[in-house]
Amino acid sequence: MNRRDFLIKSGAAFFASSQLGAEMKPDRVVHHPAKAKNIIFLHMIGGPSQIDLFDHKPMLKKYAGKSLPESVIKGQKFAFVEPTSAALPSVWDFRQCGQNGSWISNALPHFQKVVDEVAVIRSMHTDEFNHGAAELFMHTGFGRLGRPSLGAWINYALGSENNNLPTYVVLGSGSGAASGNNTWGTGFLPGKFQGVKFRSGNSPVLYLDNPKTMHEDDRRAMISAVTDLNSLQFQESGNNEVLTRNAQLRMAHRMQTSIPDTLDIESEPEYIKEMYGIKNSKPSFARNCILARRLVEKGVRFIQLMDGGWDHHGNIKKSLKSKCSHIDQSMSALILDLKQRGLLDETLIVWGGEFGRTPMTQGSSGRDHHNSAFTMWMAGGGIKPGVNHGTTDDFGFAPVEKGVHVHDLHATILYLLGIDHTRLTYRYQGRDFRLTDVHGKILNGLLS
Amino acid sequence: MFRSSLLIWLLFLHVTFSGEISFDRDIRPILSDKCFKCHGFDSENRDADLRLDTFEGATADLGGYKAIHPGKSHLSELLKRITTDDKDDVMPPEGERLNEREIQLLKEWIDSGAKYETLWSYKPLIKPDVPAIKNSWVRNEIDSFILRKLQQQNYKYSQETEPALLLRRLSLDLTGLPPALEDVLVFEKNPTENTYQKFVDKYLNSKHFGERWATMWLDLARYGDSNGYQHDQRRTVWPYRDWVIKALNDDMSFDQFTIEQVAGDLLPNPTRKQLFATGFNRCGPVNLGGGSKPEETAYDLAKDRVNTIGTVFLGATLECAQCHNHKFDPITQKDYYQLLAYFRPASEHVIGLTDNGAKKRLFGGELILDSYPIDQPEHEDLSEHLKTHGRKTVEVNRIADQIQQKLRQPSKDVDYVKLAVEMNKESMRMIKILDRNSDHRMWVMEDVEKAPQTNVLIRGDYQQPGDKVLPGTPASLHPLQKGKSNRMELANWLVSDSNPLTSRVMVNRFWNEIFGRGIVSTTEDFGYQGALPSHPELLDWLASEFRKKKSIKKLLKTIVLSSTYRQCSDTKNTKQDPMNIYLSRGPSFRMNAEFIRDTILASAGFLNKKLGGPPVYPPQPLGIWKEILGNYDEFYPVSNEEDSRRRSLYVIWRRGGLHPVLSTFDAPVRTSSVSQRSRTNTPLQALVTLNEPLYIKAANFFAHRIKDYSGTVEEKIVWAFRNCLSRSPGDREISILKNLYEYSSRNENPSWFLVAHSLLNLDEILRKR
Repeated sequence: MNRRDFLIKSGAAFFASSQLGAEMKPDRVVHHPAKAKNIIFLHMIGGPSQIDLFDHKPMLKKYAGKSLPESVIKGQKFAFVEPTSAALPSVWDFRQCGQNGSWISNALPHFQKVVDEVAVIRSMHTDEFNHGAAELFMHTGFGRLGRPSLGAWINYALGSENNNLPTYVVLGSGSGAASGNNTWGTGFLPGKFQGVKFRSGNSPVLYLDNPKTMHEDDRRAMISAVTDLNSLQFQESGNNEVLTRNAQLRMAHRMQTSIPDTLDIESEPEYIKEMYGIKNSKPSFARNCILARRLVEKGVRFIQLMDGGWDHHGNIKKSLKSKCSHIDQSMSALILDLKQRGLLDETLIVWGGEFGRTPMTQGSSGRDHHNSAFTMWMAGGGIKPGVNHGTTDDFGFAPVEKGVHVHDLHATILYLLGIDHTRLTYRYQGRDFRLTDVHGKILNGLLS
Repeated sequence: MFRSSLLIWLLFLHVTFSGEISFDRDIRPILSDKCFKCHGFDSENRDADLRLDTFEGATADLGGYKAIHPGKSHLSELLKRITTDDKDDVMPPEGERLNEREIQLLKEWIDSGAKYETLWSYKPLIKPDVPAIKNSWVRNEIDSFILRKLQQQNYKYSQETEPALLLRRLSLDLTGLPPALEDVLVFEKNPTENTYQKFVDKYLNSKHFGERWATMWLDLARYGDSNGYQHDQRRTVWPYRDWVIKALNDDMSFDQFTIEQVAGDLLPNPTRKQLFATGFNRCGPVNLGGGSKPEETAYDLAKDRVNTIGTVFLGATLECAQCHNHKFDPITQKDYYQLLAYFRPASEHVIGLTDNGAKKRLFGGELILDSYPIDQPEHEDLSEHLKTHGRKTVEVNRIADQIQQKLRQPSKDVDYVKLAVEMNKESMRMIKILDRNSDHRMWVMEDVEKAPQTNVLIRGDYQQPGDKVLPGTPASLHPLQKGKSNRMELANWLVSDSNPLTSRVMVNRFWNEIFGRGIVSTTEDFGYQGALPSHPELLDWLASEFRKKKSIKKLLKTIVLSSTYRQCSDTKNTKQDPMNIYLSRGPSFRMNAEFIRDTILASAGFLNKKLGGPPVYPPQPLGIWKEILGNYDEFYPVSNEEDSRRRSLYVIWRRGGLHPVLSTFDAPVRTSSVSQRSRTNTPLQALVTLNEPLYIKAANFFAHRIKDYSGTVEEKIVWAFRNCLSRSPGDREISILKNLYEYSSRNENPSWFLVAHSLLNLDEILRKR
């Protein structure tokens, strides 16, 4: 008996019609017209130094080797350094770039060229100053475990645009985040809203591949038998969940081919690979940038790129340069590539770490964690290009104008997706929870 | 105008016809939703000095007028404010206005005297009378309560489910495992009340009973084998898990169960086991990340303990009161920190597991920050740290590298289980090295004599201490018998006969596990924002029995002996009771992650039923811990095959990297007390059961058993089917499986693999029905 006979004999066709209605329809929240459909969130794990990359502070040169003024550092606490540690001027020179004259470090030569496309926020601040808690704060709006991530909230609110791929995908390069998978976790929301980590290598999703001994025809025959048996069970019990299980089995089967296809970037033309600076087939941030674009093209809602290795407590000049060389070209190319495909308008790109780094030195050549001020940038869907938002004091220590809290960033991201952050709630343990708790201001200055 | 007055008139009729207004059901939800945020219990955020949560407050003279004038709605300012069109005066000032039904209800209530009542769950627990119903369906008291409600709704109960399915349900509920096929055959042959009761006793007395119910309890206790947060260090708390299993198997009195967990260390001459029980307070997450401030961590731990006690025993969301008075429930911020004061003397104590009871004091009142490497070695300043920990780190890394070398094979289809055996020797060496640091020290509670003082923390911030407070319980709850002002006093308060909450909360949890929905659907919240009970008298009857007998096994026995429990769960012939709130049929829902894995392995005959001991590490895809956790304790020491086949509650519960077979099916990482899990249904779950190597191995094993079973092809199919689903297959089911067998044996090479694998992937195997 071949597979065809098998299907006919087991009556697969008979059941096909009864299962049509079982595909999952997204429940979509729309509070106002959305400006962006998808998000690519580029997270630099460890906290990149804003002082050496984005926040140009010539004053630090005058204080080099000396403590910052008492008025700045009084009562401050840091993870490792004393507040009186000597100031450390930027280890890289800065240059004014683009039509808006934005100051950007020479460690980011490619980014200097695309700065007119982005909005730079130099006045970010957060509540937490060690990695685990700050990462949680950046991704879940709360410095302790247990809350849903931004991507999970968005998944919960908007659902999927693609039935063959997960709605929320996480890609990683370098070492992992201190909070592990909680930065794409689902907290108290149902588990289906959590991010799906695509792993580098041959099996990007856990258990995606058939067992080695199993031929694809066997897999089909087996899925056919299982769904038929389930359908009989539905007829017997009247339980609709059985039909949902069948729909999920079929989608899982489709994902076994759709995911490897989507992730196969060897099909990209050479000039695109060059544009992103991809030199070999090793997993890298650059490859993940191309993958992010491919996933956006397929309608994946939220793509979170986690890049490890930005925790520069020592030897910042060398290590920061090395990290920048891994991301500068590819993140800039991502902006241009989305733009040339007409996708930038509907795709929001967000870049940043969980906090910044101190203007003071740690040891002789590093910087400690700093949560009072750091820099993030956004581009694309609904963002006004070329904006410089917020400023810090002369030392880059704290915002003096238009301070932006992480809650404000979250409120703005949700706004751009058509979601009112005060109305996106989930009742858990007797309380209506929000991503932004009772906070969050929309950053009108960033909106196009 | 006409339409709206007609509407009011109709609503009036509706209200009148539906009987008396109930404050709990009709009035408090309106006041709580629309008014209490600004005019409630929280005195600090109260507007216009008006509170509407008490009769006295609502009827106070506000200078010639009253918000509520009992008996006279037309004189009540509240009614004017909720009906006015004046934008400056209308209430509530923000959010949705009251609808006409709500206005009418308030009007009626005021006119009938505006009687306030204590929330049902805070009222003293009094055993209600059992409804006198004569009906042969009624087997015990539960059925009388259920049948009365069904009759009120004009619903019908369902017939008893077939014996095979009933025994399966019973076995899954009491042991978390499907019944042995022999048991099913015995019961089918003689499906009498007597036989059923014998099986009830058999499963209640099974050593697996404790494992099944520990799964619920470990969620509540937010049990994990690691700290969470940065690096997510593993630690030893599993003796607490084993204590729970044994206590449940022994049917320890619930009072003792509570006391030993909350304050076992404060019993006179506590045994080692009683110290292990206090792992309840120690098994939550703790932030030991680089730069953590000990004082903050100490407060965080105490808060976590208070919140856990609140959820588990009181069904209260106490954490709201960390930063401000509770907006809805009568818990002040001061109440919260008084509870927290019970936990301030706790030292982060450990005892040796292997030292024959000798207690080892490692660090008095200090936090354990120093007993683990505190940050990644990439930090420059850690040269000191490397001096102390470096040798171990280097040694472990060297062995890990050797193993990784072996694993770096060109084939993507590594046979993990086989590899695991090969790796086992190396793994054991590694574990020994790692163990030298920590693995044989169990985390328990011990109070220091001089406790740090406790302050109310303004906005919950440890850097902003407010008024000093002493240990105490919330004034609005049942009275406290003052004792020694330590955790034992708190434990005694929890088990006090005057506590109306704990028994209600607990019986509801067991009910929820059995039926998939609590009598109170918000199992975690019995406060003002929680749901009302669907069967209040039944809940109070069960709670009264539970308080008297203090026996979990007796409670469960009463439930499973009822006719309510034994109903068929099919919905095909009925549109009544869509959510099954009234229990007009049996439960049917996807099981928890652990029971799914256990059931699949057990059905295949592949489960190792050994009880207790240190966590096991079933194979998982290589490198996931490293991907998630970076270079800290990222080595996953795969267990040998024997241990890999053990029950799921023994799988290492690492918060940052829970085994994907469990997390994909909504097993929580238990960052805080979990009262209810989500039950999702996703394609990733399908991938797990389709492709996970241990499941494939189980299917292969099962296939060989089917092959070895003596009988015709059809007899083999029936036997295999019944091993998985207990019931007999129908003709069409047999024919589908027969076709599949013929297809997979088409090359003259008979194979039962696809049949076995398919059976282990059915919806019905993931489900309790």
